[in-house]
Amino acid sequence: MDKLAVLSGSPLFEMLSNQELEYVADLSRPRRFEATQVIFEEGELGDSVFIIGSGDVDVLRRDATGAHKVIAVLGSQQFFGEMSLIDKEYRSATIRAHSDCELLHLTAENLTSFRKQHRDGFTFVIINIARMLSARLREANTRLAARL
Amino acid sequence: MRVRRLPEIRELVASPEFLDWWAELVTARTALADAEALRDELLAQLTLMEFRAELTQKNAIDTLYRAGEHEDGASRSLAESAELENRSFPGVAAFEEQRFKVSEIWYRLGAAEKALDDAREQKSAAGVIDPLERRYRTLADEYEREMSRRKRLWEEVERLWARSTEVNLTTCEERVLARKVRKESEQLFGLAEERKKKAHAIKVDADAAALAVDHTRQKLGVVRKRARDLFGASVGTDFLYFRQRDDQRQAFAVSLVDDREGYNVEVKALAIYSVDRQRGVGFLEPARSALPSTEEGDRRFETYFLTGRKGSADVVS
Repeated sequence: MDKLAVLSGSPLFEMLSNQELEYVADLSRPRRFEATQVIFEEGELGDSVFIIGSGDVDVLRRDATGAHKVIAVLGSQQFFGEMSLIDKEYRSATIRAHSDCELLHLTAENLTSFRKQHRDGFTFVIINIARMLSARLREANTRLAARL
Repeated sequence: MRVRRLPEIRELVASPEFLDWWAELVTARTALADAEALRDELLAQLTLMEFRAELTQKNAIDTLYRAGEHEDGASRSLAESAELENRSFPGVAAFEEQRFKVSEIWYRLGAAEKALDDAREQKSAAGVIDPLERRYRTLADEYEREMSRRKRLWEEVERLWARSTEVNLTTCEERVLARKVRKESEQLFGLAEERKKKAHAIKVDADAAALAVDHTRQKLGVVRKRARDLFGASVGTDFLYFRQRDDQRQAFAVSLVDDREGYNVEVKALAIYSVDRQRGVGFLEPARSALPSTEEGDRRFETYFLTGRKGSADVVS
């Protein structure tokens, strides 16, 4: 997996310089998952974010009956796990490999290392997460307004 | 452990002297891995061969017991056969005696029948014929009874002989089986012995391989330790360490291995990491030179926050 190519194409690392991306690449750890393998479970503790290098993952939530329901499918260069990284709450969804996939794993400690070395780059990562959350909030607001 | 700056370590890692040492280390590690693989393979073969020899020995002993059981069976059958033969002799004698007795009755019956027939032909008085008829019927009944007894005696003799034949056949087979199984047992003992010899030969090779492992491990240790003298590094198993000149709490760690899983980051051979004194390689950070000056600030923030807003003039739709 070409870490730099994955990171430079990911919305999480938009606006980062090459030097910053190289450092993130050095900090990240490649992980492989087979199709149907669970990456993490809803309700687990988590302090890391995953960026998809190849393959797809399912985002699952439990419905009222307790059964898993796919609410989204994420593909190459998209990321997940950022919510628990920021709010330090339990994982809000289960992530399961939809196909064989390769991911890049960055922990809170890795990001702390990144911040020590590249403060502005780190700020942009946080901005990018905020942008993603903001986009989701806007979408949720639109849906809510449509229901009212 | 020598104190160094990051550029000095980068220069050191790229130097011919270091690269020669690295090549020697890689060669020594490969030799150790090969020696360990050979030793492990030989140990696996040895264990397997010893187990096979032991199992064959056990089978040989079991087979020998089985041969003994067949021999015992043959002896038992032989004794039974002899007993049956012995029991058949009085049976034959009793039959012969009975046969003689039946013959005699048969003659007497013939004489009685003739006397009766003569009396009837001469039209003798009833007082003469009646006793002759009674005698004839008595002798006929006696003949019938004794004939039946003769038959039973003969059947008993035949039963004993049949059983004796059966037992004799079994005896013969048991004897042959005993010889056959004993031979099989001898072959198994031979095979077990052969396997023990093979195991011994493998053990000699395995011992030599274990010595080779010790030797290559010592050699690897010597190569590792030389890094201390050559480069002033503190030498670990997977890392070389140097104190950081600008920060006494920090050290540089030069990785000597590739490891994707064992550390908090993906470790690459000859990459330089920054570690603190407390956590060491428990927390690795890729080493970087001092941060560039940010006195003027990062222009990207201005670009991001001050341009491209929806509705503003600089948005290209």
